[in-house]
Amino acid sequence: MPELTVYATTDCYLSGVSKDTNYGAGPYALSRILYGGGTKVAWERSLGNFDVSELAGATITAAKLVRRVWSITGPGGHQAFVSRCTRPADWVENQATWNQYKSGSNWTTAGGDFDDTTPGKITYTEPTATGDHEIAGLGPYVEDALANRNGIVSLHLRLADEDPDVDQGAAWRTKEYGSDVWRLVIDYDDPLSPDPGRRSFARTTRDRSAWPARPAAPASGARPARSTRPSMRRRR
Amino acid sequence: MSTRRYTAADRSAAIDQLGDRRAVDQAAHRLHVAEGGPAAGVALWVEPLPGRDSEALLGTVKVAVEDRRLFYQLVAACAQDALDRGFERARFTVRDRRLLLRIQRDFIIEPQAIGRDPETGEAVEWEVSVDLQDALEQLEGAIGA
Repeated sequence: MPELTVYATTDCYLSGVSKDTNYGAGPYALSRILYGGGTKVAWERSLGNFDVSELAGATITAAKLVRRVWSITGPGGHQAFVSRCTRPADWVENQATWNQYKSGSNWTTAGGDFDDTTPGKITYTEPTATGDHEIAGLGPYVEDALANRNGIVSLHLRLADEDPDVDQGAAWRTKEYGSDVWRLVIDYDDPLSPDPGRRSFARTTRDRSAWPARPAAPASGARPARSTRPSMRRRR
Repeated sequence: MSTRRYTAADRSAAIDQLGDRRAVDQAAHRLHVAEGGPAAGVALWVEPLPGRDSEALLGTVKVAVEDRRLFYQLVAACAQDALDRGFERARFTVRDRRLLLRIQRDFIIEPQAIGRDPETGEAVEWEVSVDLQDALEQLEGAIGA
């Protein structure tokens, strides 16, 4: 079964404490509540966009979200949600805040607009140890993105209970960190090609200048790399 | 004035000082108080689950009167406690440029701007990640100065 890994192309977190501050440059995203005195001192949700348009025409069999969780607040094991952000092409990484999806434009609902029904919201359990953590069930999100959102899977992550009365949270690496970036891993069938590995990677408009260099080309005689797009890795 | 470890007898005063029982009644919140009790000064740090990159998180520090030495003593107590609990690094967030400049007058730190005003692009929030041993030595220097 061919597999495609798609890294976040745009990500940031939103702060319910600093509602007009943008965190697009942060090296991590998180969903968290932290109590420090008098009120919550931290309350975050996160957004991430993943471009799966290369899979147009393919049959999606499964997809999972993989995050490198590097910090857990509280004991872990708490519930959180993944929903579809309803402004996949609108929110701007270096402008989005709790109140606005881009400068001058408010979210319909502060904290980021999301849809829990199309596709259905995913409830997952945050880990109790740091490291890679997988959230299964993203296949419908990829299918929905290909069918209806110009190939952009836009995710909105938040705690299931945002008034838990105890600290809860997890933080994971974003593209600004430069490695261990959160990603979608997609299993698919490609009815259009006998060799899924030949699916073209030629079409791209995204700026990947911030990405780490791709490994050197294979030695002479080996099959040349088909792509220089470091945001995607395909395994057959 | 020196500091001591928080005890259950400090709970009521600590809640008064921090304004929230949730800041006090959590196993992951480790508190240190001024010798005179929480009314004089209290600091808390948050102990995350251990992990390869896990960092202690310095939380709220409150002192009753402007007493920079006590403030630093409370932070140093948190740093020593975090070291004793096995952490090598800690981080804290600063949301006030003047406070950041003041900290930079006393310590060598490398703040990273993580929050920006989306209209102007100006940094408005910084995160400071420190080596705890180095931080403790700097704090002791500042306290003794």
